[in-house]
Amino acid sequence: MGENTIRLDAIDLQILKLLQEDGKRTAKQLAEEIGLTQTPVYERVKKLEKSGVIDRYVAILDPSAIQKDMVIFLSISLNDHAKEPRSKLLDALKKIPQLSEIYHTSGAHDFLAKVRVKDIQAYRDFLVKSIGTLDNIKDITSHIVLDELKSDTAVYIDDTKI
Amino acid sequence: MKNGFHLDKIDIKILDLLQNDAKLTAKTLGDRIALSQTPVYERIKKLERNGVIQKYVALLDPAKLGQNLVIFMNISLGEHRVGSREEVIDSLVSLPEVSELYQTSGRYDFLAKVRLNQIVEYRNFLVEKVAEIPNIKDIDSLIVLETIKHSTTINLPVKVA
Repeated sequence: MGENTIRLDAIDLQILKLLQEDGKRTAKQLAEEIGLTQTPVYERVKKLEKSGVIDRYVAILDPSAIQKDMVIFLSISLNDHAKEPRSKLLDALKKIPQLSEIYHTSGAHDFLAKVRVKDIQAYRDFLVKSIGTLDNIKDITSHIVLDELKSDTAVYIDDTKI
Repeated sequence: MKNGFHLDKIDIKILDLLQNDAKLTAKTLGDRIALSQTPVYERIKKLERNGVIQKYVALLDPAKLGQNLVIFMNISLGEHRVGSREEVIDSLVSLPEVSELYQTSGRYDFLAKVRLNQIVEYRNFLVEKVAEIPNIKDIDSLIVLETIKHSTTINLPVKVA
């Protein structure tokens, strides 16, 4: 357990699991589902929010309804690995709004990034206009997503601990 | 447009605010985009009904749950026939540790995202669960050393000041 870990009991985990599925569940609904009264559930939720275990509540949009059907993963390799050019590139990448996720990974490439665009033409424009202007990128491999088979925002909570 | 609903600038603004903070009330949203509460409320209900807003979720801090490790798995199939392929997909989708699964172009067939507590757990996950799935030829694990950016939001054309 890391120093950041907060002691959570089985009821907390049940609450978290339910709110990960549906963040609009009220304290009353949560209480009914886990067989408790409303007030202690409400207080637990507040505590989970205050301690940052619940980071925030967000709406998840249907990408096709807003014409962002296409997902592409980019494997990116750096030219210069020195601290300053590296962090300069990362700052630039972070600011690109189409990139929703960026990871520093082990393996053949340095970074893995996820981008969502309208279509292949939009991706081409993105590569040329956004990525193409950045310094210190040696190589990019694009993995085009042919099918999104599972996409879940939930952090895995082990049922055996509940 | 396949699933195209006509979304105007106000809809887009509402969506952008809600995908960053779903707790904003119709009143606060109305104040932010200079509209009164009732039309904002009706628009939200319509966006929910149309499925443009799929759901509202709580996002947790994985570190506070002790889930510090993210691993991307590049997975290759042994055999690509429809039946055996579907079987692998079903098995992978049903694993709760796998939060995302994509069929991709390129050298591998699938990319899966897994979140776990520590490397020993990943080893157990590989040996006890993934190894049980027939028809996986090869796995290349990319261990995430640092999460630099992670957001569930989709880039929308109009930004709210």
